[in-house]
Amino acid sequence: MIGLAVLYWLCGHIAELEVGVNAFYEDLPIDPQTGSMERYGVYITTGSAPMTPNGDLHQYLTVYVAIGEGATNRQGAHVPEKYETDKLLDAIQGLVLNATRYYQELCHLSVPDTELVYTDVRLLPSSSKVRGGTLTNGAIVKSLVAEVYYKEKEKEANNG
Amino acid sequence: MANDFTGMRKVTIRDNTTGGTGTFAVMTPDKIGADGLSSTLETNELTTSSYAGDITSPNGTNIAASTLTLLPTSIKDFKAIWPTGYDEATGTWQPPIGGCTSADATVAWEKVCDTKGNQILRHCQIALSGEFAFSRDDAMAIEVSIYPVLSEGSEYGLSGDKANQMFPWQFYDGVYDPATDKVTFDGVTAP
Repeated sequence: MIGLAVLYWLCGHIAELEVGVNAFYEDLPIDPQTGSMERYGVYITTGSAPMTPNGDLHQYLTVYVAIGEGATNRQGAHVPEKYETDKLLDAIQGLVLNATRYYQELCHLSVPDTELVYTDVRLLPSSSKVRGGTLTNGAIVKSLVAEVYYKEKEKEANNG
Repeated sequence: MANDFTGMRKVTIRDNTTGGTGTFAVMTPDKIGADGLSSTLETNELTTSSYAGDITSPNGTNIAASTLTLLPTSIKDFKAIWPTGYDEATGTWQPPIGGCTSADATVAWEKVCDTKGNQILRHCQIALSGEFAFSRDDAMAIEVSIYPVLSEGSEYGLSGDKANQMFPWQFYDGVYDPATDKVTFDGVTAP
């Protein structure tokens, strides 16, 4: 779940975002009864990346932002959805582009309430923003792709 | 999966020529080229050509210059790498030409996130070389040439038979302190 660990790190630097509130792992929350999207926000998904036996773990991560009509900020005020979509994605893009400057923070990423610890995380930009589809509720989905190399602390201990 | 030689690195360059106190620069991972540090040992070969045929045999080891690519992002980074070219009054940096910029330096190539799989070169020489290129598509990158110098094992903290043998560099698990020019090896209590 390196994607979730990275999501926590991104949210720690973007005041508007909080995991579980408007930032989610793998998908936005869907109401199982109606199938409709319950909340707008950011979600991060996992993509396949090449690996080698002696190399570090490698993964592509896609960060999606979907802000639809009627979206509100944390204070309950209405937000202009297209502006908010780009603003959040620009903030994420800026962090990914400059991730090497945060090398000390990225030495150790964890997922709260789990035993998952990732070390020596290197987050790199892979591709810029792209407009995706339009959801049935009017939200335009935009995304960007980041690349991450990392080590998994638990597996290292097992191998050592 | 565990590999001590992968992961983010920083490089510490300590100039030992400044009156023994030693000034040093630490280049963080965002300022080190992706190619990292490359050190080469080459076999010196002796070839005897006779009517019976050629016989090639090794008769020694040559130590090639190590290369390190740095990515300066400001004039202050030039100052950190080659302080002798920096002018405090104007805030400018100009390449000091002539001989080695540092004829006695310690270069420590260390992991950032843990203490494993590091390399240190003692008493090496650092030359000012490489291409200073402003380019549309690439950040400025400078290839620094580091010339290893054989040093006694005692310089690397070794004792016994190894204390008097000569080595070009050392791989170690531990932490280098540029203030004292000493390495604290993992699991070893300093005497």
